[in-house]
Amino acid sequence: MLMLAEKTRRAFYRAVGDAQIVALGENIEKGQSAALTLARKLRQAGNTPPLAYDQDLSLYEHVRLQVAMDEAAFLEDRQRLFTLMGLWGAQGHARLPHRLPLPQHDISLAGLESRAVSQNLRLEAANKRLAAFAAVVKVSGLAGILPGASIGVNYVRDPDVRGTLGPAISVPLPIFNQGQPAAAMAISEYRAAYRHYQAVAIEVRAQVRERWVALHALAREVIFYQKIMLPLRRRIVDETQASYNGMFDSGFLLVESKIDEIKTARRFVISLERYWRARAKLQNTVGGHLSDQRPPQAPIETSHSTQEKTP
Amino acid sequence: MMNRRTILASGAALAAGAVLPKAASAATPAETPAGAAYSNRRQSEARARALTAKPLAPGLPNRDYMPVVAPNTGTLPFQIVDGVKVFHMVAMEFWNEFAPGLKALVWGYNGMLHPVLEAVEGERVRIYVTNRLPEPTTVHWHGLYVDNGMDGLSGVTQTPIKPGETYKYEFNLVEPGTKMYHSHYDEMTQIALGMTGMFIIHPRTPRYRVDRDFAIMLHEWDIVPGTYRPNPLQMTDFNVFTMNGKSFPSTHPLVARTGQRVRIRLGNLGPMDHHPIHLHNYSFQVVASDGGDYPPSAWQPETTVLVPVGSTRVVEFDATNPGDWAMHCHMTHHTMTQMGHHFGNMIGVKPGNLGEKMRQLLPRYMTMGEDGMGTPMNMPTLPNTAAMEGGKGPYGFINMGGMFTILKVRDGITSYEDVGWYKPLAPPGTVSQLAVPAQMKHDGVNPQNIPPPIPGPSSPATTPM
Ligand SMILES: [Cu+2]
Repeated sequence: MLMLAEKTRRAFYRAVGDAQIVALGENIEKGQSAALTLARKLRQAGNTPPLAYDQDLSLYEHVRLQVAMDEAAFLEDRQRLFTLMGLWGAQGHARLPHRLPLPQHDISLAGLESRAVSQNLRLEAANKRLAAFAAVVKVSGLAGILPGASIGVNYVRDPDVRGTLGPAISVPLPIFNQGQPAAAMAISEYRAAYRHYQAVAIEVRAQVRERWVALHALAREVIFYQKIMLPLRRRIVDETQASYNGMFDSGFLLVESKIDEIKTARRFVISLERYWRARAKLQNTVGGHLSDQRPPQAPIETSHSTQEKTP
Repeated sequence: MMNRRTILASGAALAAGAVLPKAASAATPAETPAGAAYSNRRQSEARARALTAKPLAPGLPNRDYMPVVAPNTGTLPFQIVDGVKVFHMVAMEFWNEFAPGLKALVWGYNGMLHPVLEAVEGERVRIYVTNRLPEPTTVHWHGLYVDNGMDGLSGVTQTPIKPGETYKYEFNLVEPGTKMYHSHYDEMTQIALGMTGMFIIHPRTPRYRVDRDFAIMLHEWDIVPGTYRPNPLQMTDFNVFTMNGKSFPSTHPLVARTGQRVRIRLGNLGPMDHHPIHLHNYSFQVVASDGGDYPPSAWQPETTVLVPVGSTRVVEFDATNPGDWAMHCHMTHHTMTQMGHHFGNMIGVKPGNLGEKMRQLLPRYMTMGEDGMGTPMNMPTLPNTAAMEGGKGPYGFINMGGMFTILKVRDGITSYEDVGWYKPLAPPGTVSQLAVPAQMKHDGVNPQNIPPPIPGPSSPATTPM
């Protein structure tokens, strides 16, 4: 059930991201179409050779193909989401938000590992098994010779324990005891359950760390696009516009700078989508919320800037 | 057959032969008569003697010569010490305003671009050169007859002047002329950044006098829009063209009174281009170069004089016709300032829905250039850029820039200060204006009568796309 929730969450982010990518692609197509109009008019005026027009035509057709591919991916991903949600067609369409939210706060690794240990379902199951065997050992009166066993369950649940889970339990085996086979069986099962629990815990912690690192890298990538690349691209558009105004550079260069800005926004959305999908994976490993704070729902600006300063 | 010219030449040969030392004539019996026939040997020998002769007394402005007018720049000051004229040139970096809106860091002398050194034939000059540049420099005296060690060629005739050092040059000015000076260390950089100027040596006894005497150094620069320093690596695509360091409309006009004899000395030590300088209305005579005065029989009437790199040309004319007369380089791109060559040829483009499509993504986009480029755009552009073309004129916008100035000839003026535009002085009926339909009809001119169009090739507009 949790796996399904994770899959749905990931499909949701993919579908929302796809929609944004399609919208940005349509803007790139608009830009390439404007460049093609300029190329056509130059050729009609007799100022450029056919080659120049055909080069712009090829850029335009390439963008159209890209947009068509983006649209197909979006439709496919949205369908997958609806299937996962048990919904069909237009019913679910309206529910998709327009934009993916931005990552807002850092998630601490230390907090996550302890949450995972207390919330992870596989670990929970392994823990239950271990508790059951511990109870058998207790009932069979072997607790006296298994001092470590009585505290085992509580001990491994300690969220602050790092690395190997405490000292390996060495059970002192009585040499002259009567009920040796039964006792040996109980002890051996208890040990197996304990090792299993230990292995799952190590695996869960390793997975938390691995997924956290991946998420952290993606968050940095998203912030890099948001804080550095997008403002830089907008500035380049402004500078190219100023250069065009002085007739220092062509209309082609100007529209190309705008297309580059939108392409950067497209890469930003791709990073953001990957971030949210990675977050869903991590959430699955942790087995619940990643922090006390709810993820933000406010929409964010990813399209090209339409707010222009009036000269 | 012997014509008048060859008779005169052989006469000169005989005269030259007469002063030759006996040994020399004996050594080259076969060459001497023919070589001497076309040489100016006596002049050459006089020059050589003058190099080491006792110098004449220093000439003074307005007593021994009429100082030149160098619009937009200045003449370097001097002092006379023990009968020698002493100058101090400081090679340095400073800001120059090329035209409104465009300033850049240039290299020159004493905070000026192309300042004039002015002196008189026969006197002795001592010129101190202090180097305040980040790299060594030297000064070469272009066209001057000097001792080899005074020639200023780094590595060949002297060690370079290191930053912070002051060198001394000293020589007799053996012959008059419109000469020049320029850096001769890392020329490519230092000349590109502005280190050139005119060295005018007035004759001790002029053959005749003129009323106005102007000195203009031509130069070209590569200043990328939005930058603050000329690029010395440029070899072909220069975009700023100046007269004494200014582009129109920053060039000061040349002012003369009607009837005056006007001399204009033009020098070119720009990096790469020769400039055909054209004066409107007047036919002038080309009377001299940095090589010296042309004999009057060799004066040539022209309306345009090509001033090659590394040369001066001196032109003279009588300013008989009042008015505002343009003088400019006739290379059309040399009368533009910071023209971008990557804009694309928009002439004849029918914009249609182009602006609308562009503005979907670029709200400030305007189509430009489809009807020509004669109208200023006045749109916010890059910092530190000059308008491509001129400025306000009496009849509207003047779409000339760069290497362009105006000769202003006025009746009866007593001052050469700002004389304004000629427009209010133009006699009625002497200004071109809108034609009157009645007169056109009378003259049989019908504006609807245009020649039938010549069919073009299968035009791109009709080619399916
Ligand atoms: Cu020119």
